[in-house]
Amino acid sequence: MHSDDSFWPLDRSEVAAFDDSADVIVIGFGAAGTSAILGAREADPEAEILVLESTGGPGGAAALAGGIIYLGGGTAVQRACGFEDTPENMEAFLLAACGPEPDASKIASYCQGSVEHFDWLVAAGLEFEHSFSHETQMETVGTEGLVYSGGEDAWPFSDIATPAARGHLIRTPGSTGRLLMKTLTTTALAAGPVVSYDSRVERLIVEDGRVVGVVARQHGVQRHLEARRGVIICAGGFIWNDAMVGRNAPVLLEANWKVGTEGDDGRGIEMAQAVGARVKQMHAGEVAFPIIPPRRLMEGILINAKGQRFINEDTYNGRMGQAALYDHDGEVYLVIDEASYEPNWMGIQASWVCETPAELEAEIGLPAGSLEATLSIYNRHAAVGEDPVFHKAASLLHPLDGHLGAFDLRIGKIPYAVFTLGGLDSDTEGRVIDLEGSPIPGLFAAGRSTSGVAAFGYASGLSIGDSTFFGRSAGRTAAQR
Amino acid sequence: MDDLLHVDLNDVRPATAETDVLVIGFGAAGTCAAHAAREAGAEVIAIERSAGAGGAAALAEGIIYLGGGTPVQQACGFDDSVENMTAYLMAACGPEPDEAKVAAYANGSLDHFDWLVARGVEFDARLDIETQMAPRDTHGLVWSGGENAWPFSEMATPAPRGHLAKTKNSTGWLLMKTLAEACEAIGVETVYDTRVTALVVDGDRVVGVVASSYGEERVYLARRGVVLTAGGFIWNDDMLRRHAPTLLRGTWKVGTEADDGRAIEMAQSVGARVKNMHVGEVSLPIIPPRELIQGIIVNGHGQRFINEDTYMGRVGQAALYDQDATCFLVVDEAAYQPNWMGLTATWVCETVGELEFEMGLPAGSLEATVDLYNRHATTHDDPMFHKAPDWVRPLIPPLGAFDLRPGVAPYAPFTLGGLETSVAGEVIGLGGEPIPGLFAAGRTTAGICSFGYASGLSIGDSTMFGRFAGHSAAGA
Repeated sequence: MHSDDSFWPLDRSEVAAFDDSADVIVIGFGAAGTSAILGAREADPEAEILVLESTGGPGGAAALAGGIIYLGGGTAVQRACGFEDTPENMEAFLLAACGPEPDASKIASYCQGSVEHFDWLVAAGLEFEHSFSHETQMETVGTEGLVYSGGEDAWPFSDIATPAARGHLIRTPGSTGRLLMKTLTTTALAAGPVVSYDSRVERLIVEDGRVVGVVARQHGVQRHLEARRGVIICAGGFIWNDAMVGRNAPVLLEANWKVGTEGDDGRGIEMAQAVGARVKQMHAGEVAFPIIPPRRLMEGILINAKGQRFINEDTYNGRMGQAALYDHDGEVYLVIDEASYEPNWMGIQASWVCETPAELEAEIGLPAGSLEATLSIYNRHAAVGEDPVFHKAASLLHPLDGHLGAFDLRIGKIPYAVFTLGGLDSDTEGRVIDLEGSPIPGLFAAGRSTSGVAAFGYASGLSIGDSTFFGRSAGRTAAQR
Repeated sequence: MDDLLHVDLNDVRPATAETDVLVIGFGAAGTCAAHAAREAGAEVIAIERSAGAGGAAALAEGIIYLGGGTPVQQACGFDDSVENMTAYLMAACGPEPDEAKVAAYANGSLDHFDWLVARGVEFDARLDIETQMAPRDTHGLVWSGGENAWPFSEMATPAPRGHLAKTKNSTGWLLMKTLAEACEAIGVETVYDTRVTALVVDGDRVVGVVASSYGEERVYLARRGVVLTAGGFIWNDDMLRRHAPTLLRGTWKVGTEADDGRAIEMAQSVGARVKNMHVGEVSLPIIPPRELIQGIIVNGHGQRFINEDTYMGRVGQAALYDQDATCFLVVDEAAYQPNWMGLTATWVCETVGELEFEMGLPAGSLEATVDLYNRHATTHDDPMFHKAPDWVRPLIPPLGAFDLRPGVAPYAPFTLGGLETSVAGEVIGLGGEPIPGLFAAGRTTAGICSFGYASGLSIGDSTMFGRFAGHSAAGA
């Protein structure tokens, strides 16, 4: 009836004999998978753990990432850098920043457990320098261990919660994801799982409503693998599956850069759906939009194709990216004056430089008078250190005058780097929830195969953060006898 | 068994009834599916949870989006063609509208008009230019999708396509009465006050449903197919939270309590896939009177964000999805009139500066917007948003503003996402293959709109693809 490519589960009765078995099978060896292994080992030192990774090595998307981990509530790094934070303060920020309709129970669990999770990551071998960089919202050029990564110090969040930096980075210059995953992988391997690379999971095996194993293709050979206690899906999101993105989050197809790997093909999500799992927030995507550093560029104004501002320029770049892509068709520009001008960290420079706003708007192709109108109101208030329209911080406000330049920030001119935030509905213990609202026996998930802490609004580090946090939970739950 | 979404044939009690085709929900899609299946020679039972036929469509304005040169369009002097209608729909129903469904819809539109007429639906071949909704009189045609406004006016030759059955004011009840009577006339059996709770499966095939009627559990089996035409999920707040949280900010819900998403989830439980679940139509009924279009619509930053002469549903979607549900209509005395719902200006001031202050907008923001608008309006230009020259003239104080935020103005959403179906009405499974025995149409499915909408497309695609689904289920 169904093709070989089917997502339908295989009934246990159709499996003559399992080729191999384990207590827990982990699908995917990235940020969530490594943490699931460690969580399973914590729950049961004797548990047999089998890891199936579709590529030739560990690391997943996290190994390619900047490597920020969103942690707070008063971590050692935060305290050493002079930030006062509490779980309640962190929760207030996340409830405001991760909506609309964020998962309040996941946020509560994540915040209450954040300091402990930091300590757990340190125990797993990660080193963090007790230093802060205010210059970037991404990985630092140096080895600083803490950055603002979610607009905590910008409106409206600065009014909602006490600003605290929560983007933690391990001690290495530049992108930290590779070292982060190398360290976590080494620790996870020391926990003694059996790891099988080049093993693509095709279907789940079920028996009387319980997930009891998987069908995997290993080096071209189909194998039936038993999971005595549980299967944990840590197989990434679906940004690499254009058809699935088209059905669920078509606006992301307009972006020109995908954050992830070929493994982010959505198969983990759809296999679970085929056994009755429900999904949520499938339209949501993070849109990295790397304008700063340098921070000085925040003194400019970000405008759309009508010459209108649409956001406070001092917020998190990812919020600007989501607004630009979802609400403004990816047609935006950054207008700066000489005092705020500097090429950005990627080497992007002003595409136009003119002597007057009227010339600049004509050069860009904006409607006549539109940028002039925007600048006149911006400058009027900036002169007295105010931004009543979008509430940029006073320290970044000055009237833009003299020669004006504009960065062309349309799709294609700069990377709009997207990954999916929607996925399986799971609880704080990592159990996958079915269409009727009940956990599916034997099935667990974490990471971008799930909808996590961020329903739509995002902060850098939340993906590795909730992948490792809820990956560990899922592992612990699955391995329980 | 109450919360199960599907059950195995071996686990159900003896069937209450067995027929060829079961139709679940007897609204716009269901009546047409039942009729088509019956005409194709199948025995049909339609199961409806409420006490009568009609569904959400019976409560609606009743616009049916049809074109390509219908007799009504021709009598009103509009040239339209399949290609022209296709060009409009591909532009207006995106991003990424279902191209196959758009093509089938435009190609089948004239035939569908004739089919409706043959089932007894009458149209008064006159255009009412005043409204984008149901006319007060019996006019049978309105502009219902911004076809004559930018950018669509440049992409396709403007033609109105909102057709209405011949009665005054809301016409949905008459349309549905006519379609339900047509079903009765050819022997569709109907079962009312019966709520379907689960699908019955036999292996990979859907073979029936479990239903509940006054506390009694019943089993209906279908020899050929089950057609799900049970509405969307606007009445299910949990589903909205998971899939379309933006719509929770609406103040009304368009539909009935039957739009609880159960049919979508029943199908998902047997492996159906869904699409565009975050999408909703958001009607924001500002006009009539059309004079109000001479005003400007601004957001919470005092900025314009859309051409005011477009379809009000586009304004509503933009306001709710992109502008944080904060918008206002600013008019001068020459344009001012209370709107058709009795909404009046909340603030009236002698100067723009006073008005923006009263409205709570940032100082200078509305002034900058009005200055720029007026600068171009003196020559009837609107380079920002391309409102048609007829509506563009400088706004002269004193000015008034309508408060169009949720709670003051009605934001009336319904869901546009749902099951993925083929043009023939087959429900598509996660692997891309049709699910044997299962069909669907109407708001239980994702129709031709992936996001953008025009009034009449919901009843339009419900009735047309309802017919196709019924025909397919009958095995014809």
